[in-house]
Amino acid sequence: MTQNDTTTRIVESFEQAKGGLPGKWLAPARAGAIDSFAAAGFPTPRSEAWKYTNLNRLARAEFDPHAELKQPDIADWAHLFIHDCDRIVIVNGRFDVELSTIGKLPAGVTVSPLSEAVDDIDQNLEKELACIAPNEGAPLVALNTAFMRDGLVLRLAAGVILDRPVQVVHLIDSGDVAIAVHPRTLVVAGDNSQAVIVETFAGSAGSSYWTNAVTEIRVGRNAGVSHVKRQSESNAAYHTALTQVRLDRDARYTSVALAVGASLSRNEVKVAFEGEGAECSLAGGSLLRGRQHADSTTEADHRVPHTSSRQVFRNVLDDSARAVFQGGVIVRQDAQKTDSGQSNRNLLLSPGAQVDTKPELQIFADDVKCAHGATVGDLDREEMFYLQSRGIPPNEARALLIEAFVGEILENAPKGPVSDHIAEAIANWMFGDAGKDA
Amino acid sequence: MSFLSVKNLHAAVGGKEILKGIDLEVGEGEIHAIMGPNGSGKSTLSYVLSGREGYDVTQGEVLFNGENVLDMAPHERAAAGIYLAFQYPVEIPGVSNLSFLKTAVNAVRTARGEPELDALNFLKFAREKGKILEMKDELLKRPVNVGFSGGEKKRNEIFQMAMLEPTLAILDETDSGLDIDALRIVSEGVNKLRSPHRSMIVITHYQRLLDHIVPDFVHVLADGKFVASGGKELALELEKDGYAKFGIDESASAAA
Repeated sequence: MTQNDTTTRIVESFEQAKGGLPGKWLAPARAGAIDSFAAAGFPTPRSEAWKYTNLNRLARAEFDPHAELKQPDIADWAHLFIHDCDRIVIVNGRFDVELSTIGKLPAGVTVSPLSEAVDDIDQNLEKELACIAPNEGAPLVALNTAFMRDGLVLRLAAGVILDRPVQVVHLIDSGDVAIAVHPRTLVVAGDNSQAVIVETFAGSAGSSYWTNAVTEIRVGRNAGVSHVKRQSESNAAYHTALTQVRLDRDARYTSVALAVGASLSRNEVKVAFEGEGAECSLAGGSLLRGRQHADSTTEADHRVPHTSSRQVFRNVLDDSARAVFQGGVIVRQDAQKTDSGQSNRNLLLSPGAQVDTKPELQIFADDVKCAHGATVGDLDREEMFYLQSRGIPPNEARALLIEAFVGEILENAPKGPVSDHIAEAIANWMFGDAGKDA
Repeated sequence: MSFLSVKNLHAAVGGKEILKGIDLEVGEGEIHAIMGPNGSGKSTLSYVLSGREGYDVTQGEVLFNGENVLDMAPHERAAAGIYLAFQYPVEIPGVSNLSFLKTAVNAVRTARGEPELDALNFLKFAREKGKILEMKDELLKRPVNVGFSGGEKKRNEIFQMAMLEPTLAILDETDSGLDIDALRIVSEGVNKLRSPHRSMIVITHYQRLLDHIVPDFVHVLADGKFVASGGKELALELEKDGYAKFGIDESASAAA
């Protein structure tokens, strides 16, 4: 089957599916989005933004839109649930009320599954949903807009400080059937509000599926959002995701996104600075082995003066794994006094591992600071010998050094259960078999 | 029986022979000083004994407590009781001194059949040993050797030695680059760790250290071989007359 056939088939399956998708008012947006996807097709390496990540295999894969799936055994997933948080759980693309827990929330806070929120007129989502992340130039976002069914909606009124994290967990166990899911998360943080949001993606080993996620985040004046993402998908899965963030005046956005799962993944984070004094700190990367491929692509779009962005990305690659880092910074003509910094370091544990790292700086203002740096290396032999000479066996010495290498990105996760959630993924990678067969 | 027995040890680095037949017998609790000019093979000997890769033993044997050391991996030698205080301690960014030491202490304890220390007991143990070396708490929390002064790094080496409780300590130029105050703290630390069950090999370029750590035996190493051995008075002779007396042209050795 060619890519064009697949695109046509996806459009046809939309015609069958659209009647059953939530939010009647979204129908025009969905129709526009599927047209936009049909016109563009899957991104190809011919476009610079997708130069190092080829979706050819994904674009030819067949996904069953009518799969009847049974409820998976959740015992395996319990460790992914962060203690003491409000949690929405999405199983095989649909909200699972049994697994979700929403405690007593402060006034002015809404935590709801997308499938319910879109049919709740009080939520007034028209101005936010599918508006923060545009479909233009982003065929996979358009595809998500057309098919989106479930996910998380988090809204904070002005001045609300949410002290518990909100977690959305996406679990997939599709057995022998290949399915595609298009989860959407929307976070709207009012002025002076504050929240921590955790997105977790996981699938049962061997399950073959495609997660195509979109996350939209608007951070109001002087508000702060901390966003943590753990991608522990099945080793046979595809994972494509885009997070679009819009920052108002003095807003703060801090994120960490770690990939340990999926055979092929791409995590794109785009931040638009729309108010002066806003700042973002983006961290992330991957721990990969086998033939896994993970792409971290960023864009910090400085549109107004006095904003700052930091980017810290680390990749640890074993076997024939491959990582991509494309660190984008745009400083528009009006964005004087922009302060941006970027660092990408890569640890190659095997001669077959490969990394493509590319800073992409487009600077149109003259009074700005933009630093960037990248390194690629293997484990330091002197450090290894020093640790071993103190009685530490080689595998533990290696783990200590890898942990230290990726440790810097953990600083972007709130201390406690949230950073432990990411640390667990790192420890599982080092001592478990995550990704082994990918 | 000797505690450490080195017989006719030859070793090469990158195909070049550096050690050309070392014989050394160290008894339990003895302190042996090894002196020699730059390039004589002092550090090579310390690396061969601790098992660094890239140092190839071409002849000879090393027995420690009757066991063949050369068959052991570096971490196994550490567990067996061999400790090397590095001439140039390695910086390890991102790993705190305490978590590094906790991993090391518990790895060694496990290998020696002793129970692991829990977080609380480990901290107590570290504070107690830290006092000997005047280690500030802040140094324990910082990444291993990162941002440490030269003196702090050497103190950290001896502090680790106190924590790992070896039976054979090799101090490789632990005095180099230290001012007199730092030298005093380090050598007092070493002296507190002297015991009838702990042997030491003290490698130094300068006799000064041996005023503080008084050895039982002194060996002079030149061009990969011992050219003289004797008591502590040998170090004083060296200080007074230089290496020339032993037929060593220091400038030539240094260039080698």
